[in-house]
Amino acid sequence: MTLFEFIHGVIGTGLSGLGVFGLYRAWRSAQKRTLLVWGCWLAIALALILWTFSGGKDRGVALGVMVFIIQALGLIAYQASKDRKPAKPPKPVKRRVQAKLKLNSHVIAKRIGLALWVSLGCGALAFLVAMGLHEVFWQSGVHASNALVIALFLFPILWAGLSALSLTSQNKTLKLVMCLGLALPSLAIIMIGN
Amino acid sequence: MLDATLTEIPKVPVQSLVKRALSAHATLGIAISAVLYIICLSGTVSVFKDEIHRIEQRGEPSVSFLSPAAAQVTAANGMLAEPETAHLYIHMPTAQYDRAIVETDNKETYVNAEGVMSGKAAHPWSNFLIDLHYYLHLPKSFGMIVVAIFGVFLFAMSITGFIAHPRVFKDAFAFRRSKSEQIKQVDLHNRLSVWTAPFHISNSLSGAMIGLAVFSIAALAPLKYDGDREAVYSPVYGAEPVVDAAVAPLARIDLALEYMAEQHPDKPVVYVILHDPQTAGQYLQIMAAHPRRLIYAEKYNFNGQGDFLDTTGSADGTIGQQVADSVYKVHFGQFGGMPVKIAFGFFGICLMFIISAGMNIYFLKRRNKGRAADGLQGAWKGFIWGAPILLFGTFVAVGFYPALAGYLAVIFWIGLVISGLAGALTALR
Repeated sequence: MTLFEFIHGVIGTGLSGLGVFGLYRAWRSAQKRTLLVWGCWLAIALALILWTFSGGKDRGVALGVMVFIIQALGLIAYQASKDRKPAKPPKPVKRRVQAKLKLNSHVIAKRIGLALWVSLGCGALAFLVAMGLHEVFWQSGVHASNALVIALFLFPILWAGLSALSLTSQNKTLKLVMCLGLALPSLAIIMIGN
Repeated sequence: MLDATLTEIPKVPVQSLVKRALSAHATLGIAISAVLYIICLSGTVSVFKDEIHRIEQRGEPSVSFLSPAAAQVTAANGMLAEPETAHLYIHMPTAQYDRAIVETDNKETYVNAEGVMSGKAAHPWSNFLIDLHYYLHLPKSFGMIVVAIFGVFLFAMSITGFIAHPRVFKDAFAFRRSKSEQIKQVDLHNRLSVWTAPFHISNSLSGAMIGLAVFSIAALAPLKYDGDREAVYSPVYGAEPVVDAAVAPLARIDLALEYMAEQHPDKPVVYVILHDPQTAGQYLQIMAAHPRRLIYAEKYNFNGQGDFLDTTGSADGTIGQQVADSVYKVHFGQFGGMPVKIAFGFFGICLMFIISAGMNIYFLKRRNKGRAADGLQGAWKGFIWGAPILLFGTFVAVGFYPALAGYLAVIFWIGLVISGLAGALTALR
């Protein structure tokens, strides 16, 4: 490591430390300190830029991110150490007993259906969309390597996103429209392109 | 009349997005936590694979530098050991791993600094660990997909977790240790999840991408490459040359390495790959690390006479090539020597705490609702403690009794079941 790289790394570490500490102060304060928060994010962004000089363009950012994660976790550990246990144990609270959900065949079938949809249905839909988008990139002249890598990453991202949406949304119509709206155009694009 | 009928229809209670996301997060968590914990644990230990290799085979020669001439001798010895091999690899010594290994299709042997063969490479515990992390000891092609799906759901957990956490910034540093056990566990889970998000998101996505690539390749090969699966990867990793099986002298690895030392002295050679050795179509690739990049290595291509041809483009090719070549180092934290490995080990332990705290929250909530699941909670505790103890135990056991090497997976999984049962029985007593 050269002196140039070392100095940039040290300044980057200091700057991200300041940024994280500023965020700690701002978010723990009762007042709204928007300007301070933005300033701190800016300091962290600058720290990442300095880390690119220290560790290389992509590797430097990765190192910088790791440094500010560790700094933040250090502050959390400090916060935890400050929050001592009370001298007296908390009083036991009497809880009301909630009725157990009856597992009838309808509930079980619904749960199995949801599990299958999330694990297989969303996966198949995500795969179809990823392949459809690959076709779009391919046809629009994007380099084959870029098209492939985008599709490879899109597949798990879409799968996770669709699973999350399926589990959080209660709107069945929206889910159906979304599935058809994604599946049919993707299928059409793949068929037209090949 | 119509209005009255409509109002009588019982409606499903509408929950807020946060509550729904929390419910989704909990559902996913309960479904995947146990297996995800095993994947995280084995992945965390795998970060230190090189160090474990060194402990497993302590007697092999330490090699700080393998000269071009010694590399040529190494290749010749490797070919003598397995003349019919289709590929020959030399693992060059690096700053992180001071061993040199020659590998053919079926043999892997350590060599000394002169290229003379030493002991056969045998890392039964490392292989057991890697098989656990990559495949969960299932058949390889199926296991890799299963592990990848867990990566997908870890990412889905991150999405639902963030949606379920509206005070993500305001509470970013809160850790209320003095409050109830549930609040303590919630704070531990949330603080670690939020701040280590860059780590677990990049790791879940890179792992999922690697494991699920098989589907995309299977679909794209017939659509775009006349069914040739290897050709799908060629825009990213380069294509293998046409086979010419006529016998030829062994490729001049020494000349290629001399070229690298002259032209790229700042890029340490990590691998030498010789395709179709001792044939007229043999093709030599020297993989050289770019120390200030996340890419694993750039591939410098040479012909059999040791003449430089071109590079594949991992370092300066398309963005896709660079990203694809960076996945390994990003996933396993191999881009900054021991400090980064220790940080990755620490983040991996954080992820295990996140999983463990998540399940603790679930059990505490059940208890607070009067539906305690003591047996299940005990089994979970047994599992959480049993898995690392079993990993360590198998490592020590195979060191003393090498004959156990073939039974490590069986010992681990049976031991895990026993530790879970023991935990459940202890809790119910």
